[in-house]
Amino acid sequence: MPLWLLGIIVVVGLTAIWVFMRLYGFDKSLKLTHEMAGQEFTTDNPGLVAEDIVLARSGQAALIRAAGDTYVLWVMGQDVATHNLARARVTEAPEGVTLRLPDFAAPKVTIHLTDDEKRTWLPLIEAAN
Amino acid sequence: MDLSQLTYPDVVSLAVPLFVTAILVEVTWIFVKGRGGRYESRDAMTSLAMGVGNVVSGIVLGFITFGFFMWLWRITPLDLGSSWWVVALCFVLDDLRYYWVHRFGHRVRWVWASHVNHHSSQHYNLTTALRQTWTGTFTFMMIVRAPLVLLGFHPAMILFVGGLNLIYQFWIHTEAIGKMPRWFEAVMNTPSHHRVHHGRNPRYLDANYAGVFIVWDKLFGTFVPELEEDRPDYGLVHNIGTFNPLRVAFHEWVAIFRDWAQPGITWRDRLLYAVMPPGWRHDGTGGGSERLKRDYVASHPEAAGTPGFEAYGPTSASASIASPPPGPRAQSR
Repeated sequence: MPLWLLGIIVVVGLTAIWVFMRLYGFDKSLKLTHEMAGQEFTTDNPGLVAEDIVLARSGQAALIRAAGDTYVLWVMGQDVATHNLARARVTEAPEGVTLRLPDFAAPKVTIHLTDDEKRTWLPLIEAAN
Repeated sequence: MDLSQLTYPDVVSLAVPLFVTAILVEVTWIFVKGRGGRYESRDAMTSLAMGVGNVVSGIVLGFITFGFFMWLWRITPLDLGSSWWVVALCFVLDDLRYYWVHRFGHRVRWVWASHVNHHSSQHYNLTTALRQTWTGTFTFMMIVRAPLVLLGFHPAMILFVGGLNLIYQFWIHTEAIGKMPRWFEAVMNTPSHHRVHHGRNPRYLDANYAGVFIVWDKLFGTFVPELEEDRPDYGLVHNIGTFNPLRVAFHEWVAIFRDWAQPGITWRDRLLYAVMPPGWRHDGTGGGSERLKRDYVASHPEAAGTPGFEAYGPTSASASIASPPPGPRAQSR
């Protein structure tokens, strides 16, 4: 198959798949509850159990204490990712806080928080270092 | 027979319209039926971008593998020709080759660095099949195919059957199909068998490496059946937090280089960071799939001796209770 034809099929095909997923609503984000955050945390960190959970009002992130460490959990589409906050740097951002993590896969994560939430989250994150 | 001009169709490129159509059918089926799998747009687009990148890396770097095979072809005195039974035999032997390369891909971190991206989706659908590596050439696993060339299988034939193998594996990346007929499940790799391979449940770690024929796993002791009471949970043991294809493709390579760069380790440690299973740490704080399985059986003693835990009896379980939890990079899957 000529490369130009393959290129056209790929571009048209990927666009069609993206449009179908948007039409079907497969671009909606997960909204966390306390219970879900705890379960997802343990699944992603075998052997650890969430002892304390601070859930963002948006349902898109949580701070979690487990085994003496502080972790952040954030929503990625219909799923979550978690990270230990030791060695993380935090800065305020207009929409919440920005975390810089020592991780090539996820070096920067922006968490959406209200001003009230920022006042709770910032000291907790800074204390994790 | 002069095989210098032997050519076969580029079956993977020819299958692209089939891939696109099948994905559209699957996503529509899931939407209409409300079951049979999950789709998430950014995850799926990342998988598709990885697939495109895999094709591009093949175009850019394919000459290395093909050049290596043609060099072997020139030095081998054997030539099996191109009859149909030679192609069929080549397909079966290349599937055996796939089994071992795939097994190395999970048990040798240098190879895992290339293969990890295929497991980095938390979804299991037809787009996951296309979440392929960009860096396979750098694993040097083409060496495992060398015996096929030296036995007299033409390089073009080997790449042709490899393409057929890849196409076969496309359709098994789905939750829309439950189980196939018993005779088929006994011999062939199926959606059920491969869901196990993509599961991050401790029971399913390092199982079902097969490409086309599941008999290899049964032969080499790595087969685990899908259990109704332990549905696969997909992704890595510790998932990566990105949809960026560049970060998906290279994150484990960067992690290896960072491990090499840490102060106070020996050259032997550096070698072991490349060749030991994922999760290994020089200071003993890491933990691979064995550790995760042991710890699971320690907290679920009733699982000892069941599929996936045959080697983990109550004795090994209790011995692990005193050991520290796995390290942060304990991602054997």
